Amino acid sequence: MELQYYREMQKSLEEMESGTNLAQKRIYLFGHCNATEELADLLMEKGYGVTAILDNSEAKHGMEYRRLPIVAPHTILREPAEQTIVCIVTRFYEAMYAQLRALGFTGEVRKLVDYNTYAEYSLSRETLERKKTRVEHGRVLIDCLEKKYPGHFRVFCPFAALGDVYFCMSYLPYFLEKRGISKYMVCVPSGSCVKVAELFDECPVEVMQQRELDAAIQAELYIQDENAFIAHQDRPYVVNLSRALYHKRIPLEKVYRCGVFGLSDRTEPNPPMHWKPYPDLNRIEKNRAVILSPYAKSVTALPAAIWQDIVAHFRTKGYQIFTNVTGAEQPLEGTMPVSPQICEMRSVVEQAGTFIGIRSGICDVIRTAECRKIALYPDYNYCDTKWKSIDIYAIEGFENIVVTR
Amino acid sequence: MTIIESIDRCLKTFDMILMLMDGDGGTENLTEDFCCSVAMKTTSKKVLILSTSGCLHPNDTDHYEYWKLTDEEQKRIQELYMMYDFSDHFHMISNDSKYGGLFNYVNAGIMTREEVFQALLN
Repeated sequence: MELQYYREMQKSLEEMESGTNLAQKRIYLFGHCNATEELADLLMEKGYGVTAILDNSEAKHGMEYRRLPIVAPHTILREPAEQTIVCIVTRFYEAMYAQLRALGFTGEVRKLVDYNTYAEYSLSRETLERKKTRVEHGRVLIDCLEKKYPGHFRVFCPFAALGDVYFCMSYLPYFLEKRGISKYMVCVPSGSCVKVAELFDECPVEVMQQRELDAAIQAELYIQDENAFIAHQDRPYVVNLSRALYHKRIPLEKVYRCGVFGLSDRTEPNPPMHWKPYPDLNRIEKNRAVILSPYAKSVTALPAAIWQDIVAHFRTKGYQIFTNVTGAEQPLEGTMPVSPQICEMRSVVEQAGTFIGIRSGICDVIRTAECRKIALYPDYNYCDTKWKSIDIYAIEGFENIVVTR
Repeated sequence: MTIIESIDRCLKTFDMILMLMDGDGGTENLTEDFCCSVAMKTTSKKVLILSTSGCLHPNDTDHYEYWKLTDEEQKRIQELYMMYDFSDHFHMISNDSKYGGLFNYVNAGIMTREEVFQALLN
């Protein structure tokens, strides 16, 4: 979970604690994902008992997270409503709220993170006024962008996922050429996304706070601006590409190439070009080291035992073992931390000779690196489709392995 | 009753409301083809189709109703839809140049039109 959302979750929980006697409530969480796991961790740290995680995916029923069972949503009806609370930290709050009410659940339902500022399932006058105000704010933001980048076509990457930005930048040149666009700029929601965009081109890249970016995108939709494009596979809500996945297996790169940009399936991706060498490459023994990347913001974590086994394996082989860390992340036990910039990642993994990471955007960033690359996939389905995550996210040139333990 | 009030009422009645925007880039004859599709004939959902285009088989089954919109009504609903996501039961289907869409898959030969219709009704 991005730090800004984690802080929002903490704050929302504190507000909830001051208004509700949580210790007296049966607490359920809705929607199993990385964010929900972090909420479960936080609640348990604070000494609250979480009863279960509700999830619509039948494939997950019977599974557990830290001994919390994952169960079907209708299970909530077994509980006395007035003594039960459902907490939601996914972007599908509106749909989940509606589902719980449709099931007949009358207890408290709380949104702890506002992931989805586009959605509010109401046509009340107050909602309409609020949303109009938001669009007007978005129009002001667009005017600012136009003043700062006059005559530039605007490309929006609505979500802070490194892989999404990677695919966008990789196929964007073909899209722009098709439309006869020579001057463009890219809007992204985080500094890391800027770093990925800068691997590809020296076009202007503007960072916007997520809520501001959402408002600007909403305004672009509202004013039907032909001078803008939203380059994403399922955000915002107007993008319906993910519906195809109920019917067909379409790997993510193809979703971008064909679905988002409307290019031929034979289009070759542009590789990133603006790499820099990591300044402390001498620290890493050439072809006798492994770079481990166990952390990802939007993917459920692998069990610690998996990484312990990997570390033990490479220790017996006499390898140097590094953990790629950023911010407050800690290196795995028995490993050394390494914190290259995104543009330095390729030099680091090529020096080491081996990269093993949980499947995340970092894997996309280094997909053109010449070394042994292993991507580990938690055993879960992609959203609520029948496909496993490996079916959608597998990367050519990697050893793609599903971790079933 | 305003168009928004009508939509609000329909959201309580129908499983899905689809506003179809016939155009180009894969959406030629969209309304008629969608209404005549196998997907529409076999869906178990109660669907409302909104379009300014004529549909040769309105109310052909119990599954869907068809409302022909005026240009002004379509514009008003489109404005609303582009202001915010007011329901996960309402979708506007078009070939909008500002973002990707399912009909790009048809143009790339990855999906057929019928498969897109089935995906939309999922």
